[in-house]
Amino acid sequence: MNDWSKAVIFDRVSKSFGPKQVLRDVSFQVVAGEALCVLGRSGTGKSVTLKLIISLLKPDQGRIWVEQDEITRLKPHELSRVRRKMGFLFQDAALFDSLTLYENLALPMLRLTEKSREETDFAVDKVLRQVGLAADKAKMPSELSGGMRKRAGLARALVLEPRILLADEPSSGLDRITASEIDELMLEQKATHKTTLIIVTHDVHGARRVGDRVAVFDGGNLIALGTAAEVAESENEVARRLVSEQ
Amino acid sequence: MKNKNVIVGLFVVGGLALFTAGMFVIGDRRQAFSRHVEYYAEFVNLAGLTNGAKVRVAGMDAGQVLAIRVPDSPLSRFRVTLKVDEKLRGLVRTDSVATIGTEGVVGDTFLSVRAGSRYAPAAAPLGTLRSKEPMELSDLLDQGTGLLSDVDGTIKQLGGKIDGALTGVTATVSNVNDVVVGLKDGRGTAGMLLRDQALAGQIRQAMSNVNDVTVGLKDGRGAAGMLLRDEALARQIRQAVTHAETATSDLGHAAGQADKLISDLQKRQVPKKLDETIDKVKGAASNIEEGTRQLKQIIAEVAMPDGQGMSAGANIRESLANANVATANIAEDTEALKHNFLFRGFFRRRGYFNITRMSPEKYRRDRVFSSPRNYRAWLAGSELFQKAENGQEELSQQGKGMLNAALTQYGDTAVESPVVIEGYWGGDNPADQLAFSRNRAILVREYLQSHFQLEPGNLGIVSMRNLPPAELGHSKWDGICIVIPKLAL
Amino acid sequence: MEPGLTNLFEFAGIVSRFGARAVADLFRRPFEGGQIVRQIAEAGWNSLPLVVASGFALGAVMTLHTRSTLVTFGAASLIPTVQALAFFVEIGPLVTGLLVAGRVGSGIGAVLANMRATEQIDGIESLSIDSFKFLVVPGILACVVVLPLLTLFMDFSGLLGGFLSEHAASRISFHLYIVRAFSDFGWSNFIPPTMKTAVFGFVIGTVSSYFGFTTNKGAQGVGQAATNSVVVSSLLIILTDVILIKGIFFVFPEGAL
Ligand SMILES: Nc1ncnc2c1ncn2[C@@H]1O[C@H](COP(=O)(O)OP(=O)(O)OP(=O)(O)O)[C@@H](O)[C@H]1O
Ligand SMILES: [Mg+2]
Repeated sequence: MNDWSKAVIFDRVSKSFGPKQVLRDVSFQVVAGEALCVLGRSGTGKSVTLKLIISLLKPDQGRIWVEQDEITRLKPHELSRVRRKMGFLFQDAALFDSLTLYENLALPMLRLTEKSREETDFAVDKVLRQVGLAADKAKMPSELSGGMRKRAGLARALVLEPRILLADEPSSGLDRITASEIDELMLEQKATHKTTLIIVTHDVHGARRVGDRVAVFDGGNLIALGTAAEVAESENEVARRLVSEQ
Repeated sequence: MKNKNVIVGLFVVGGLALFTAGMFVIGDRRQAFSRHVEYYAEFVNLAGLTNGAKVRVAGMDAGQVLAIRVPDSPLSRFRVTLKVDEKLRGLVRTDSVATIGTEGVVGDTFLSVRAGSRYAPAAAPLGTLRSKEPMELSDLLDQGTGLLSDVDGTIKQLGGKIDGALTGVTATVSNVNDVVVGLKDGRGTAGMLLRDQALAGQIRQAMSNVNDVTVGLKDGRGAAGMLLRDEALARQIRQAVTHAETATSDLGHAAGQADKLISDLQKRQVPKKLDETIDKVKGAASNIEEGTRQLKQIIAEVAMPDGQGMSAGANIRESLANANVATANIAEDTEALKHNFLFRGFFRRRGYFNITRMSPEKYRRDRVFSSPRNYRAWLAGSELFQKAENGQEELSQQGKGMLNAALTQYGDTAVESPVVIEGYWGGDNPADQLAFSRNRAILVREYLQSHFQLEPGNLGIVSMRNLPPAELGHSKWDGICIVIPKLAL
Repeated sequence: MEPGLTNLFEFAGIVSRFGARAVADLFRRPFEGGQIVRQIAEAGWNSLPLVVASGFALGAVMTLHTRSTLVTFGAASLIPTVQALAFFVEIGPLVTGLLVAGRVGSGIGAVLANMRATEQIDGIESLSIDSFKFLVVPGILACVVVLPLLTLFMDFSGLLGGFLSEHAASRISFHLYIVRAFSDFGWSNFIPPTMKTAVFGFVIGTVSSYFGFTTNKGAQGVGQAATNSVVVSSLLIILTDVILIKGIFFVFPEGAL
């Protein structure tokens, strides 16, 4: 299973919260450098899946690899090494509301890299420009709109140039134009840095455009995994309906 | 971020500054940052003194008690280590006396070191200072009353001999008695007297006069002991009496003598508790007069209808009424005490004066008991005693008659003054001497006590083996000697 | 055992481990200097007006009360001593502890609970930053550092309040007031009572962080965490105070009043 070409491997992963089983025996593999879009109805465990990958949650059963590390067996202090390969955009952005936008982005750079102040400033400015927030870097998160916050969250996820980008609904709450700009940005990351993208989304257009493959969750099961065209042909009614563009 | 750092810096520096301020203020009180000299002092009774208690030299805060070593047997005393600010070192002399005092009635206990005299050398660091046992407040009050009674008695005796030349003094003393007794018994009196702002000052003045007398007389081992034991004093008193006899109504002169007498008392070690009051005294005699005058004045003021306002007047009148009642009581007490004061001085008092614990050697050398002026009746053993059937000695009929004669010879004196029965045994065996001379004295004491109904406390015995005190006309004796110590008048 | 009692012991065990982990993490790199400064500014500087004002008012009021009592006994000269001793030995430390529990404890509880609810704590974790070290340890350390300092501010402003109210009543001079205030002071009346508040700080920091950090009830948990922080840390402060006082008397017997 220790496959260098795979970015993420789920092997028979189950996760419950109390009596509620969220994931049931889920197995899938994400190839390095591919873009996987995760679709599914609300509350079916998409966000939980992303958090399992970055090990914010632990599975009840099953094993998870991120590149060559089986993260389900790593000790807490070894986790940070693996986490540094990943960037995570939270569904609600999760910016630190006691820090300015600039500080939010500079914090991981200053703490986790050897970069100097100037290099940090440069990198932060660059990524803020990419998400269109260059003018707002001195603002506090509470002074940003929901969409701006989402873009800021994406910027924070990208600022360390991660090998794997986990994005939880990057384009929800955004207008179509901005949403497609964000999609372009992620595709550009994938193209230039060979970043693996795992994107949870409800935006079928975006998913079809960005995703090399599409995974569909329902009722705690992975009901379909394949290219958008394959899934659209799927026997499963829910999967078909979720991927269809109408 | 920089801004935050400044704020935190300000906050931390401010807090630390306060901490330092606290350290310095307390350190200053504790003299933690000045140089010190250490001394020792020893006490039987600590009266609540603790580690860290203040030390005062001549009334100034000078340091603290560093350590107290607890004695391991009643024979040794508490050894107190005290540190004294270098600056006050010059006041601590070899004749400085350490006492334990209390601040007010409820205050802390502290160690007080009296400045020594300038002729005494400075006390060596780590040397042991002389010490005086602390006085508990209740003792003090008791002693105050007791001493006043002593004084009263003494002065009455003096007064008899100098034909009333000292009536003024006596009047003061009894006024003094009134006030002190009022203070002691009817708690209210003091409170009431002192509540009144206007009168308080005057009364306090009068009270300090009272204290002067009290202090003067309570000095050392008590007035009676003093008078009897101190030759110089006795001479002064005799002199005062002679002067008074020649100038019968010359109160001033007598007062002058009293002044000398009291200032002489002052020069000796006076209990620390009363130092402050005695310091205010210039001449005791003039103060006595002044006190009398002031008391009269106060009484006069109180008697005046609108003297110092209604409430004050009422209070004072009541106080005086209390005082009157108290005076009547104390008059009785004083009378009783007067008869008893000598036994208080000689027989009951622990330590030095307890002749039952005094060795015969010491007794022989004691100036009071060996004084040639004492009444002495030398009674031969062969006449006093006879062998009983059991082989022990007992008083013979003839012996009882001799004892009766010997005692009645001095009239009433024997009833109210202490009587010492010296027992002698003429044999050569030292053990016999000790046992039998003691036995003889006990036999005589039992007889005298039951026959004359004497106060047990007034009768002291001492077993002298076979050696009387020197220079009394008997180099050896076998029998009994009845001694009535003559008052030093 | 009663379930309630078991829960109590379980709670005590969890909070103790939480505190122990904070102590252990304090000495592990990296040291969160910036966070510590931020928290000290928040807990210390921002509490200063509250503490100084309360101390001042309390000092003035206490003097008024002790005054009437002591004057009855003719011990008016003891007022500064009584006031200073009471303040430095017990009132200052305890009241500061309770005030900080109210202000800073609820703050820490609410902030952390809110961060938990809005996934900010997960966000920090996702950046490979140890959220416990980053958020909890500086908060606790700040409380430990700040409380003795705030206590000093409380003590001295109480002294000042006492002086002003006594000055108004008897025209006593500042110098005499200070001399009398500290006339019976030993080190044990100053240093241990001040330093013991560091323990209060640890209690406040640990308990509040615990409630904030471990909540998972979303927005509703924020208010709950704040309330629990204040209630439990106030209670624990008073309990620790009793234990500490006994301990201090044991070590410095002359400090016993
Ligand atoms: N920390 C948690 N504690 C308890 N239950 C949780 C927790 N996180 C998620 N769940 C439950 O797990 C289920 C899946 O949640 P998840 O956030 O993965 O949904 P989702 O697929 O991302 O939905 P959406 O599209 O609305 O974001 C939900 O029913 C939710 O109630
Ligand atoms: Mg979700």
